[in-house]
Amino acid sequence: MVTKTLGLKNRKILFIYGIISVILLILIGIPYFLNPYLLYVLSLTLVMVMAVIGLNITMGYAGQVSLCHAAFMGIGAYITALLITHGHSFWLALPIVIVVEIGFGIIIGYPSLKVKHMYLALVTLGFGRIFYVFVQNASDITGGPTGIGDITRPGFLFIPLGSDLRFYYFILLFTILIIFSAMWIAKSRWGRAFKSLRENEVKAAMVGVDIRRYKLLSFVLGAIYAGIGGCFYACLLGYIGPSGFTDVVTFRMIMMLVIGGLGRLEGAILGTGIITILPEALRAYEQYYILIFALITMVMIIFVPKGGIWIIEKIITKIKSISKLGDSS
Amino acid sequence: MISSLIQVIIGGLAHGAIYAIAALGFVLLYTASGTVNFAQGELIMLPVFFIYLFFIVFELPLILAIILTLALSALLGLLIEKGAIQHLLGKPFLTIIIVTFALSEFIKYSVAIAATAYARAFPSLFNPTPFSVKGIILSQEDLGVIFTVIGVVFLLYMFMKWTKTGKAMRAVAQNRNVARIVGINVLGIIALVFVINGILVAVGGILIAPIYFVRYDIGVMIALKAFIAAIMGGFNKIQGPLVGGLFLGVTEGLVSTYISSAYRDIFVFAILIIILLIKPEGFFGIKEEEYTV
Repeated sequence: MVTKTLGLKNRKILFIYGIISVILLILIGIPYFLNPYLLYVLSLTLVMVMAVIGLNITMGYAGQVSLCHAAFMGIGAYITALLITHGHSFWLALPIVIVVEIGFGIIIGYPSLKVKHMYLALVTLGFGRIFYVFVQNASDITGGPTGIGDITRPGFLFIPLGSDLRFYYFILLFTILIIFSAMWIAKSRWGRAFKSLRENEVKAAMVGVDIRRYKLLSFVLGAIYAGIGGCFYACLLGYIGPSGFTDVVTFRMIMMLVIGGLGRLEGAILGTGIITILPEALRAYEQYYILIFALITMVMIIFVPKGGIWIIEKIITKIKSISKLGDSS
Repeated sequence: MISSLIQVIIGGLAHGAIYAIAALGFVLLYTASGTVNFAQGELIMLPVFFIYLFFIVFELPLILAIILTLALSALLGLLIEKGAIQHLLGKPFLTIIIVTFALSEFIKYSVAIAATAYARAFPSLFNPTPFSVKGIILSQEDLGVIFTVIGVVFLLYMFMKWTKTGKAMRAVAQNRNVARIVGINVLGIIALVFVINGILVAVGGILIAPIYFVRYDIGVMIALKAFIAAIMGGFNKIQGPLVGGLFLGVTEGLVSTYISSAYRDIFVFAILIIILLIKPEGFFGIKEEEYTV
């Protein structure tokens, strides 16, 4: 009996690794079949995956409302853009972004220690707005509404990454690193503390989770991931402006999470894929897609709070049970 | 110097009165249903389009246009309550935020598609020529806004103080469960509060139509400011949002006149953070139990 369940578990792990390697192979091979525009869309999807994984840590794992993740992403993007256009390296920008994001994560997370969800929603929404107002008005630093252009792409180990294809592989590599680090966080002591925080703060405190520390940590981690996403965003586009980091962008990130599955890493990836790629497929209905997604978001969070990944899992188990029936007969 | 200061303060009070009326709606909703409506901005924006439609496009008389707008807005409040909020009562707070946020984006971009992003002008409801008292130039529009808001708030106060339904509303706000035990139709009261909120913010919307242009995104900023005002004043007392709104309006006026108008919102936000850190329950708010979500 024991060996049988073990075998089943092993098979399940094998199955998961099989799926992951197939997806990886597709991601490595597919650029050769895509036109430059679709390659760009795919690169953008991977960049958004990094940022949405950050939102998933703050909102999905730890259950803290964050309505300013686009601003966290914008901070990363603007710092990178400013440093690169002033002649510094991407590899200097990345650690600086991480340090600055830690600072902002603490500043925004701090009110969450004092106030309840409702106020936190407002503080984060307000911070997003403030970032937009600042970037829009401080034209001598940020270029104002026209933004910053001519952001060159970095090199990696003496390999220039200027071409779209090479930069795609660079992003892919980093996305995989980000995904693995997020998996590690979810499994670690931090991840378990976040989940206890989300389920019940009082109980979490009773079993010895330092609520204040982990609330702040969830914001800091969320901000770092979004900031790294912003770094790559700036280099991928080569141009950034204030309109890339408004509350609409935050809302799109939340939609990605809700449609994919709040609090699930696979959900964050799935949702980001759907929300970034589908609008490209539905180009003819471009202006309607935000309406459609807003409707889907409302329906999903009320009726399917576990998100799209849960639906897929349900379908897989259904198929499995049907095929098993076929085997026995 | 003094006269210009007084002008700035009165202008600020007029803006603040609009924040106050929208903030009052927020607080009524929160105390009655325990939900926060992130689609409040769209409840401000839609009435602006309603009155534009009735008054400018259909050329109805102003009074009729206002009555129709208020009626439609009340209906809209009811629709949101029946369609969305009712299914959310008792759900996690994150769910409520995401649903009302999604609803807000949905309404906003529906209007953007239907009416395009074009900004339309709306004529002043009051005599636009200013007059001067002892060297202080007063805008009749500002005074009109202030007195309208005072009138509406007075009517609401009378309703809540003297009518049986108003008393039931206050009971629900104090304790939903006990209100249910003594036989109050709590769901009915929550629906009523959404209707009242719809009317309140519609009044705000009609008042701002001449000041801002008629556009799909005018509600966002006012709702955010109203929210800030409600938090500054305190979320569980009726004076809270009124004082908070007026305070916010005057602060904004002073900051944009004497410091910087471009960075006004940054100052406002900094003040909010300071208030949250020093007195999280606001000027008038009562400390709530920390973990009653």
